[in-house]
Amino acid sequence: MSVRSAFKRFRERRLSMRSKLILSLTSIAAILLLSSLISVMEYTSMSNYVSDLIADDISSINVANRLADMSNTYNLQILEVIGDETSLRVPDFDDEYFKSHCDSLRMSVASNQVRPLADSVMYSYSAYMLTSLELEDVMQSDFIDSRSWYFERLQPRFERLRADMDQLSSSIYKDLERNSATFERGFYRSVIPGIVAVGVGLLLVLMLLFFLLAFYVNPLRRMLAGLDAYRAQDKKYSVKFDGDDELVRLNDGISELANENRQFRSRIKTLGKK
Amino acid sequence: MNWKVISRNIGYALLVSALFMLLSVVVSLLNGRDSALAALSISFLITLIVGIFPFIFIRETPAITLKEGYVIIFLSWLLSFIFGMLPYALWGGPFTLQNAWFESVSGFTTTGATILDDVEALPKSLLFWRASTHFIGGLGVVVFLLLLIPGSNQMKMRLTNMELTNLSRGGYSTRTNQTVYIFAYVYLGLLAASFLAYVLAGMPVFDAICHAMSVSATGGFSSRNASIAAFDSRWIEGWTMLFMYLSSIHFGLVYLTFVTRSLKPLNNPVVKFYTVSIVVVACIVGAGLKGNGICEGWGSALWNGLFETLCVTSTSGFAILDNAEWPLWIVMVLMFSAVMCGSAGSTSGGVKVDRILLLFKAAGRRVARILHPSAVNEVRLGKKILRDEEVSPHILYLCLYGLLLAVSVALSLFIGVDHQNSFIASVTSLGNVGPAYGALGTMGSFNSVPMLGKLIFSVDMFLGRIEIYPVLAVVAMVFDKRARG
Repeated sequence: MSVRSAFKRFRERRLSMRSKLILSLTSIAAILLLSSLISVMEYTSMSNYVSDLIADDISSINVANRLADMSNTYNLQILEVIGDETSLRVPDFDDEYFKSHCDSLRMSVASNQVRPLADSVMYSYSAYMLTSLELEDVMQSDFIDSRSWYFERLQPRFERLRADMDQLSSSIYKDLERNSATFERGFYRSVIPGIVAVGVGLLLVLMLLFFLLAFYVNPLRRMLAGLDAYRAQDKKYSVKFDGDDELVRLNDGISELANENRQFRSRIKTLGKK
Repeated sequence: MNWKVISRNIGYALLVSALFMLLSVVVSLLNGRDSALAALSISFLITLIVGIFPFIFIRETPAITLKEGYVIIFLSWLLSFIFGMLPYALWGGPFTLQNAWFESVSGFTTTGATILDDVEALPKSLLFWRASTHFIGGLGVVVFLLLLIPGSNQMKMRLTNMELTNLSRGGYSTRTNQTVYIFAYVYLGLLAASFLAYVLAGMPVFDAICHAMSVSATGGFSSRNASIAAFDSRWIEGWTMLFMYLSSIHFGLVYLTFVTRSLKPLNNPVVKFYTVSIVVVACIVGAGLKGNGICEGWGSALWNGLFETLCVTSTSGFAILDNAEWPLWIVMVLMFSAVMCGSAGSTSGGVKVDRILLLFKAAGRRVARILHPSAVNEVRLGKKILRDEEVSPHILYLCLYGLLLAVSVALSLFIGVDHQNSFIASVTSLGNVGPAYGALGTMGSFNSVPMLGKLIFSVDMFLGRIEIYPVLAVVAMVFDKRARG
């Protein structure tokens, strides 16, 4: 069977009322279902993705603050040791904790712009810790002034470390802002299929309403009016409308019956006169 | 008004869009299921369902009246814009709802103005859809519809008469019903020829398809950020110029030239006037480019001048130079071409060069009448003598065009578009040229234009594309009971 004849057969095929209603309502349902599913899927995937990013950012901010507190406390302890010349004890610092958190910070940040800043913090920290290890020798030495050592060697490294940490924190904050904006945009994106669904659904509902009125409700009313006129005033039943389904066949049937009935009645009348 | 027949014909128009969305889905699959696959598939399904919907209830295609024809034309374009924006809106990226609307209108009206700052960031399937909107719009949504529908000859004739203006039909020595087929043959011929020429000139196949669809529709969407300049090839620039020129002259004349294998049909007053005006403007622009140091040698200046002039006159809107660096006067010279544009019966926009020629001739006759009141003065176009009632509708159209331009400039100034671009973007949108000047120029985008500005320019594009009257007819039917009948 050629495509042309198949197309011709498809064109000539008549749909029943039931098929028409089922097809049209299924179309509306398909559009609504499709777009709702997309909306939900888009929103879920975007929400999960951005929520993870935001959670990572918040945890990174907490870690960065904790590291900043640790380095502050350590620096104050060193300052205390330098101020109190009788004490020779070098303050303790949990080096492993600091490094592991720095590493986790570097791994957890998603943005490529933040990662080099985490590396800078590690380098500044290494420089600071290496210099701070000189404290014991400085305290024991008679030739080195501990205050000069602090302000000339350790303090600049500490300030560098603090500056790098501040920069890292502000960068993570910016990343958080960006991700929050992405989340809002994602929300907007997930709303669009919904808007499309509502728009197209409304359009189809309006079209369906128009077709139902034009092809079923109005013809039914005309048929009723025609029947009333036939019964009350004995007018000829001559209702005609477009269509190709059961309603047209029903109308043709009524028309045929009404005409036959009229013919019978006129014959009976003629016979009665005779 | 028979809404049954209207909805059935609009259904056909949507099925045309659905067909090209399906092709874009295939392009996406061929490109390893790129990121626009879902957006295009959903858009295809939605457009297909809405397009098929009227066919569930209406099986026959009865004859149409004049009023129904206008409503079909108006709604076919409008719904093509709306459903054409779905792939963009669902894909996301820079496409907010208003941006998707603007891109869709610009595509279907073959304007070629874009909101995209980075065209190459788009997946190939979406680039293909963008070019497809040009292709559908170039032939005209309704002409496409006429090629597909199995309706009666009377209906086809009526729609052809309404979609193509009197000027467009003038050059065809065939029956109206055949006009649409000749239009389609020439259009498809130009598409195939430009594709082959681009491939032979070394353009990658995908880019060649997109640019062929764009150049034959005199659209202007490119698959590259730098437009034609991205290929850095004199051959590609030369082919583009040739096809921009051919696509902007009367398709009936191109058809006759091809069929008779003679250049005689091109010996036509409109074609001569069009060609001379292109050469004059190109020389002025070339001299401007040389004088302002934008091009170094005279050869390069004239080449670039001719390319840019053809881009504007044919309403293609391609580019090989960034006009943001040009002095304003060169752009204003090009604005003359942006109003005049190509011939009627082609895919170009604007008021059409035929009407400008008529305007000059009518003005000349008026002056002659003042000087020699007793002499017989006629408006002649070639061998044909035109009566007053044949000339006046075109002069009226020019007045209407000017009025719309003034309204568009005033509105865009009111909403905060800068004064240069209020005028230039209004001219280029109403003329379906595309790029404007500065940030909205040949290498820029309309992204920075406020939302209302995008709406104004998209209305300009629509009015320019369907030559105002169908919209006015529908507006009259909405507000005037007598017009509704």
